Amino acid sequence: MLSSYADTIPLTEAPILLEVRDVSVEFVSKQKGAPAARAVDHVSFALREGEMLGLVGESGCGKTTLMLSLMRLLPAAGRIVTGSIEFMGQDLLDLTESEMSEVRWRNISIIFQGAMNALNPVRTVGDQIAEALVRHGMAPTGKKSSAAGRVGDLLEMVGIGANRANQYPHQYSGGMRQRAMIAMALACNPQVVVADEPTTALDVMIQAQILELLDELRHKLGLSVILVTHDLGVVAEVCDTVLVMYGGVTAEYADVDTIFNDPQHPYTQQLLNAFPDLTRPTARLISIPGAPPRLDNLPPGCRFAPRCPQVFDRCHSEPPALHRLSDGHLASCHLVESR
Amino acid sequence: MTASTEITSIRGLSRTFSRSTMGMIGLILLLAAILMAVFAPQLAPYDPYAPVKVTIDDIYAPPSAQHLLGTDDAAKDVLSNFMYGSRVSLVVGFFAAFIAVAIGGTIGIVAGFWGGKMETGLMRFTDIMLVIPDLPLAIVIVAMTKPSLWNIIFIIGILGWTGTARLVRSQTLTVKERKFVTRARAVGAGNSYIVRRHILPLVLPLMVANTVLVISLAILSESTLAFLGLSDPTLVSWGQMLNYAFTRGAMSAGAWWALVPPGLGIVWVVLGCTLLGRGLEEVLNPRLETHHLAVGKRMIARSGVRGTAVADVETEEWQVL
Repeated sequence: MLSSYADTIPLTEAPILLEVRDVSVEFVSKQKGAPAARAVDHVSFALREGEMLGLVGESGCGKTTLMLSLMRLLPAAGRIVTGSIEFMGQDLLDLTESEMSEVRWRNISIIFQGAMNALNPVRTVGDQIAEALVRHGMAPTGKKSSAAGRVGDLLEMVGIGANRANQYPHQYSGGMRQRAMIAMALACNPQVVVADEPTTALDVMIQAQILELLDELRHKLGLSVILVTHDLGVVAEVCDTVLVMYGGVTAEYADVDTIFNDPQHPYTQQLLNAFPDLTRPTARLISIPGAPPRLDNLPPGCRFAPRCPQVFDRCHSEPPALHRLSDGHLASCHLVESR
Repeated sequence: MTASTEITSIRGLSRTFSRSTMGMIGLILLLAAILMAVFAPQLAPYDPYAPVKVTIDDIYAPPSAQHLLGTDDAAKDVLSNFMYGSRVSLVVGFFAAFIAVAIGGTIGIVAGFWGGKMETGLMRFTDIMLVIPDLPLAIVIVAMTKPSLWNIIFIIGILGWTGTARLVRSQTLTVKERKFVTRARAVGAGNSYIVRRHILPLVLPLMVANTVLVISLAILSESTLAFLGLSDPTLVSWGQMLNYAFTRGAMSAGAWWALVPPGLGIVWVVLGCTLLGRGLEEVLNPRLETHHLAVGKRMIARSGVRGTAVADVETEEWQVL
């Protein structure tokens, strides 16, 4: 493992805001003697000011778990077992729970996957946005009513009329709910926003609008964004760096141009192949056969070995280390080593 | 939220409620019973607590102009007894249900939200309370304490919360797993805030509808206890009227008027509560008002096609063009 990722991808001179080092997350089982399932295994990345990081991978590869551990919001059975999460030089894992609750939303906020579920159906949208403002002392008198102006501004910022603050989530369309979730995430002027699949369950037009809005707000407010997504097209368009995860480990980590033009890990290559190419409309769409490994039944060697087209003997017995290529491009594959 | 939206939403709720025929019937039945109980001194032709001089002809006298529903074994006017009796039933019903729902709601939310050993302990306790037969236990407790009005309310209250606790716990379990609870936690909300502002609003409708049903159960329990002679002997209640009529030979005397009114009174209030509870359950579903798929002919509002039935949107009257 590398000791520092501070100079991993020297894309810009901007200072590093968030540095995740060797984080592993396990889920403990209630059954006695059952081994803990490791959902995230020694993952590291760095996020600079104003940068957008794309976190890509299939369902169940640990993306959401990694993001929730940034906020220290894992489900009851989850444990962060190794590593550190440094935000502006402070290890978040050293903070007490009450200090952490100050960091949440004020410094790092999250746009949850599935906006309908993240809004309470029996309370108005404005009321729920005001919740964060009141909790973090941003309402002038500490009452929700005094935050109405700010709630209106936030809604206007994401393109919803301020007069709709008094409406309930069911009176919003799917896209508006997602916009409201973005407004909510921005309520306390955070430096880092985690967008956990913000466009799932939305149609393509609305997806484009939401991503455009996110990108626009990032430039306007100088946000650093971690975008969790399945959609490589989205990543190519808005992200600066890309972290590809597979089965809880880093498959490849590089800036966006390198990932798309010079992918080293067979999984990344396969993912890109599985993406339709508009210049060759008649080409067959290739899918990766098989499914990601179960966390309680990981292969002994490389986790991608059972599905890898370039697999050889060593892959089945020995897990590959994370190798550094030129310019901080990281990939965990035995093939890279020999190069 | 501004005052105007609050009013419109209450108006909206009452509008939805008025569409529920069952709920409206229940509400009317219950309101009539409450009015009768409140204005019993004004409405009743006689005071059931006033001493009367009794001759043999006055006992179980059949309905007449002086006594519209006849007299009972003590030559008291049955109609007056009936009106005063509703007071005890309703007071016991409301207060005992309030106690039961407060206990059951608290236990349900605490068990559902905090989980773990607390939940196991509370729910096993609930199970034990659930399998103990209520009536014999109530009889034992009433017999050991003084059968006063407040004792009976208290006993029915502490024995009647199990159903509510299980209902509220299951609802709390589903609500607490919803994403907005995680979101509220991420925002920095504490447990008590989450319970008050996120869990309770979604559990409360269920509790309100349940309360009305618990009221009817409490009224039935009170009547049962009174019928068995376990009620405050100084107060007239429907159960007690039945008890006296039953034990003092109304059956053999053929005095149906002493038995039927209190029995119907109990049915009346219990039916009212049940119907109201069902109606409330329909209305308090938050999605029902505007975002519910409606089924019916009113959604077809096209006009001008010959031979088609067309609804006038205002009056909902149908005519064939």
